[in-house]
Amino acid sequence: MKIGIIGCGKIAVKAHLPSFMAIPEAEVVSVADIDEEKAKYVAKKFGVRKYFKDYNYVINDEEIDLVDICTTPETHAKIAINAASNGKHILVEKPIASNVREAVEMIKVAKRNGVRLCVVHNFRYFSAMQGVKRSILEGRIGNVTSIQGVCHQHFPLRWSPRTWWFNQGGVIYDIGIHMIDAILWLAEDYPKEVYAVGGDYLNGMNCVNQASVLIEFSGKKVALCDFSWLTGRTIFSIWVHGTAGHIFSDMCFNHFYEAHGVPTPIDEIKNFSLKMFTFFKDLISGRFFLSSLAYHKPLIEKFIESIKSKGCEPVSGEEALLALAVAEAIVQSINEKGKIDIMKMIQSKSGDKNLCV
Amino acid sequence: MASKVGVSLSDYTYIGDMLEKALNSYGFNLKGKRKVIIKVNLSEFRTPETGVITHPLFLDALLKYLRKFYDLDSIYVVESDSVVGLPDFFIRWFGFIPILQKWGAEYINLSRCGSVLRDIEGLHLKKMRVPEVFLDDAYFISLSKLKTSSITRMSCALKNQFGCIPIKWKSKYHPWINEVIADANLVFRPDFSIVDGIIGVGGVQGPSFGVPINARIFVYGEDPVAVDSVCAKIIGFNPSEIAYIKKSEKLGVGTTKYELVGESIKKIRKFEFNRIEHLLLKIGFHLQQAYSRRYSRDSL
Repeated sequence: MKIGIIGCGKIAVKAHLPSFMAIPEAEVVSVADIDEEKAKYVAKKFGVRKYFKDYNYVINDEEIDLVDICTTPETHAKIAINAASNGKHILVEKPIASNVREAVEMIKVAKRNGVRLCVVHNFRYFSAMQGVKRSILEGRIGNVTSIQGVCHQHFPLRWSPRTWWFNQGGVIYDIGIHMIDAILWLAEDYPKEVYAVGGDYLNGMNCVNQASVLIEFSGKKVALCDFSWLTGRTIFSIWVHGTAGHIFSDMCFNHFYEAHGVPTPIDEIKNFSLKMFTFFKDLISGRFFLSSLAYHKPLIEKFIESIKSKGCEPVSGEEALLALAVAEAIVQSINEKGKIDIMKMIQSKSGDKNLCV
Repeated sequence: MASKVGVSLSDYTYIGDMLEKALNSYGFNLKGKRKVIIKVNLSEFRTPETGVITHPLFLDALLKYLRKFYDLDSIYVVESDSVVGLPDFFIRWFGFIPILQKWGAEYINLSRCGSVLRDIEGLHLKKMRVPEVFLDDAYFISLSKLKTSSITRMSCALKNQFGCIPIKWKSKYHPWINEVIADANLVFRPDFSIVDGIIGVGGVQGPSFGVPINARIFVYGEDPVAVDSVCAKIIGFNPSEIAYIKKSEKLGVGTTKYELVGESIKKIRKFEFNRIEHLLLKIGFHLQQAYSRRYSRDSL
């Protein structure tokens, strides 16, 4: 499969390009960046044949099967729609687009042109997250009743100012979108309503840097999450509570454990041993240092497989749209100080009252 | 000859009165200068109560003191860009703008004002860019924080002048950080240094991600080397263990011999700098660096 990458920033260089290079059936044939020198440098570094300043050369290139969009979110929709119209499959970095309207349009155009659209919500591929999902599916904690997530990350100082204030979403659109996707994926339910408290806790940053959020699902599940850019430590942990037990997962150490019944010291010893085992395993393999960057490859691999086998995408456009809709609802809820109905919001923002995700 | 170093106790509520009392009893004097430059620390995206950056209330107290006792033409509050420091934003986000407006002080980003290249006889640098604001005949006050540092073990008065170097990518000097701190103090030697340790930073992940230590002190004096020697003692080091203090003394910036006035430093809280933990952290950091360099397709 021939790949064209648009956007040669950090995420392309650190995660996407090394992942494609490590997949035998993938070949990156061209890269594009508005900074031609950067495109040239990246092409040379990774042995890519062609580089361009204008991304249209990539999407018009008949040789290319899949376009990988690694640009800033506000450009995703335009590039993806052009690429889909040219019959290219699309892999796009998170969030799928800068707003719900654009995301709906991207999905519609991809469907109309019979191309596949996949969004890089790679946190699902942490082995801890996979373990949590497996335990839930095996019914080891019974029916899921609630999920609690803590998602803190130090403010991304190296981002460009334009990106910081993107949609005023701040932390919600940065690391938060990964947490939202993880919660929706683990809950296996449609988010019905969102209520959020938070906002700009500094002076004039004009975006959300702290938020506490309640997501109510169509079933009886509820998710509570805390998002912050202010605390200085990276925390990405999830508690899943069920009628027959609990699962705790910590993505920083790629570790999870189940808890059933009465807490005992043996539980603690077992959990500590498991945590140390995973930690040393990841340390030796180097995954500990790569963190989430190590989990682009399995997602990309699955996407390529799904294109070949005409199976389901690992993260579909609709799933990513729901995550984006929740993110948008969080910001709206903070501003309006009230509950937001997700489906009504998607329908009103997309201008399609009959739309059903 | 020993340099006089003052130590006073306070918290941010009473800092105005305590600073006035401390500086007056020390004999603080602007020596007829009508311009003052205050170098603050806005080096990271951390809120003031973490102890990482200058506390707006401390700056407020210092500006109040200067306006009360001196007839000044101008006060400049300065900081420079760094890889993780965006002072143009931090000055607004962390609440400094109303304070600057209240006391008629002007904020200057040293990386964005004009500068001249000057020859120096430094330990590592032989040329250094000097921002134009330092070319004026001004009284220079270094207003720094009392912090531990994973790189230099501590970050107090002398290290603050590293931030006077106007280039953004100062991190390129990290392999020679001790020499460059001494060089920076050769060029930007403060006339007076105040180290705010009311909330300092302890632990091994300082200066940016350590533990806030409610030490309730501030240290001050005309000799930044002596001030840092006292700070080293407070944190739990011998000044001779801190390379940049020794190198600064060697360059003639000041002396490690000090005469303490004010409070005793024995009363101060410990800064929780565990040497074994620090060593392990350094090993981990080097492992990470080595791994990043080796990162290739095979590592996936």
